[in-house]
Amino acid sequence: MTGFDPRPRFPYRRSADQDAPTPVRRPVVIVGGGMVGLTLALELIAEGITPVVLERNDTVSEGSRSICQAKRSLEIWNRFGGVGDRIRARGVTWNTGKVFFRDALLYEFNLLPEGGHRMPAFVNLQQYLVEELLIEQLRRVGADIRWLHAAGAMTRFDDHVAIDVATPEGTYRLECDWLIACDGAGSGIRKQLGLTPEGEVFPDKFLITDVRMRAPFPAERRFWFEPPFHAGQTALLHRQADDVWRIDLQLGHDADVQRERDPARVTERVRRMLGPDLPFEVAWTSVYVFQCRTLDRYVYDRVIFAGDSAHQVSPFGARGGNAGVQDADNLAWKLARVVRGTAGAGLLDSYQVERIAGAREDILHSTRATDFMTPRTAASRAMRDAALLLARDDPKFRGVINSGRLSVPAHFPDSPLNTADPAAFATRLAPGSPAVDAPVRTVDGPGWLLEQLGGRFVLLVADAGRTPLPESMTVGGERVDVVRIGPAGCRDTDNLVAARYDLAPGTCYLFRPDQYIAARTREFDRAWIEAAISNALGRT
Amino acid sequence: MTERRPNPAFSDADASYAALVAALESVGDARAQEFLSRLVLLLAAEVGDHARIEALIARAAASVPPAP
Repeated sequence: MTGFDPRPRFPYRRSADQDAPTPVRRPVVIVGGGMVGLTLALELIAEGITPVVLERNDTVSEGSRSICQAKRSLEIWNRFGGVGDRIRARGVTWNTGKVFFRDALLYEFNLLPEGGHRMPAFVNLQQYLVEELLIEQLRRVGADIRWLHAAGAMTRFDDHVAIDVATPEGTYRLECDWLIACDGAGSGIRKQLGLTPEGEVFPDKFLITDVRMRAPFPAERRFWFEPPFHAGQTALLHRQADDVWRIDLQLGHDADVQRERDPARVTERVRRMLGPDLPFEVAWTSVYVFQCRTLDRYVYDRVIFAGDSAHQVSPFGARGGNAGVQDADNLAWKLARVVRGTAGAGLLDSYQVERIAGAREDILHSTRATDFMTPRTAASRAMRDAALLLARDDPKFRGVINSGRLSVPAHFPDSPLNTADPAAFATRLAPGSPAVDAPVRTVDGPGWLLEQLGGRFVLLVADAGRTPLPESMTVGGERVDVVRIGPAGCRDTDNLVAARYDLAPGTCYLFRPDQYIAARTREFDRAWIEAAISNALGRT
Repeated sequence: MTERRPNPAFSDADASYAALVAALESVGDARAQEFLSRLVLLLAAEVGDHARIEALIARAAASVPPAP
C-alpha cells in the first residue's frame, strides 16, 4: 500500500493454550486466515467443530487480489449468516463483459442470461473487504482466530500433527488431529513437506494495480487486446467497491520487474490508459508472473491443502479465490464427518479426487486464456490476430476469443460419491453437479431452492401428495432431511425447479451437505436411497 | 432427395489448389502468415467437428519435425 493503509488491525491475544503445561490437542488447526481459511472456519463451526485459525499477520490481505466473487462462492457464503448477501450489498454486481480489439468494441457477453437465480454471476469486492465480512461473521459465531500467531515447524505423527507457533510473546506448541494448510501460493506447510506443485509458469509479466478514482465507466468487465494506450499487449479494467478500480496490464517477456514497480512508471502507464483528465491515485501495485499448477495430492495423512497452497492459476478466469472457496466447501463436511466418526474410509479421499479434477479444469481454462493473450511465436501471434479480426466481423468466431473463461462451479461426473442414474433424465444436471437455484415458496413466504439445501444431506422429492414419505431418514448416524417439492411442501412457483431438474411426480434428488447432487431416481425406493447415502459418505 | 455427404469429395482439386497458390502469390511472402492464419480459421470453422480438426492438425504436424 502507498500512503494511508485503511485495513483494520486485530490485536494479538494470548491464548490459554500458551500457558498449558503440555501441548493442547485441538481437532482442527487451520494455517492461514485468508479467504479460504476463514471460509473453512465458518463451515467447520457450522458443523459443530471450532478450529484454531493461525494467522501470522494482524490484518486482512494487502491489495485487492481476488476481486471477482463468483455466483457459487456467494451461494456458499450465504449459508453462513447471509454473508453472501452482505458481500453482494457491499460490492459491485456485474453480469456483462466487453472485449475490445485495438480501438473498437469487438463484442460483449452476458454471464447470467437466465433469471430465477438468487445470486448474480459475479460481485466484485476486493479480497480484503470480503475477509472483513467473513471475520465479522466469524466473531458472531465465536471463532478462535489467533492474530500474530505464526505457524512454524510442523511434526507429523501417526495420530496427530504438532506445530510450533511463534507469537510476540514467544513460541508455543499446539497439537491437532488435522492440520489444514490454507497458507497461500507460497505455503510454508507445503515447503516443509518438500512438495512442489506441477504445471506451467508463463514467461509474460503482468502489472496489477488498484487505482482510486471517481470514474464514469459502468460496472462491467472490460478487456482489451492490443489497445492504443498499451501497444501490442492486453489490458483489463474492473470496478470494485469504494471507487477502487482494478487494472491488469500485460508487460511482455522482457519487462524489468523492479523498474515496472516504480510508482512514477505505474502512474504513467495508467495515465495513458485513462486519459489526461481523470484524476486518480495508485493504491496498490504488484508485478506478477503467472503460474498454472497443482499438487497431485491434497491429503497427506493428517495434513490437507486447500486453496492456493494446493493449486494456482492465472487470474483471468477468476478461478483462484473461487476455487479456494469451493475447496473449503468440499472439505468441511467431509472432515467434520471424519472427526465425528460417521464417514467411510473413502470420504476424505474424495476431497482430493473431486477438487483436483476441479483444479485441472481451472488450469485448463486459465492456461488456454493465458496462451491466447501471450502468443509465444510470430506465427501463433498471427493466428491470434487473425482470430480477433474474424471475430470482429463474424460472431461465429467469438468462441475462439479467450480473455478468460470465467469461473463456474466444478462438476464431478466421475466422483466416487456419485450413484449412477437408474432412469433417464433430460437435464444437463447429473450426479456430481452442484445444485442450481430456482425460486420457491415455503410456509415462510417466497424463497430460493438453495436455501432448502446445504449443511446437511437433503432428499428432495417431487411430491404429488400421494406418496407416503418420512420427514427424515437416518443412515449410519447420518440424518437426511426430506424436502418435498409440491403442494404439500415447498412450492415450485415458477415451475423452474421442475424444468431445471426434470422433475416428475416421485422424482427424488439426494443432495450432499455442499449442495452437490449425489444421486437421483424416479421413485422413492428406501433401500436404493439408503445405499446412495452410504455411498455419498464414502462407505462403499 | 439425395443424402448430403458430410465430407464432400475434393472434386475440383486442381482448381482449388490453383486458387490457393494464386492467393498466396498475390499477398506475397511478407503477409502470407496473416493470410494463412485467417484461411485456416475459416476452414476449421467449416469443418466444425473438433475431433476432425485435431486429426487434421496432427496429420499436418506429423510431416513437419518440431523446431530444435
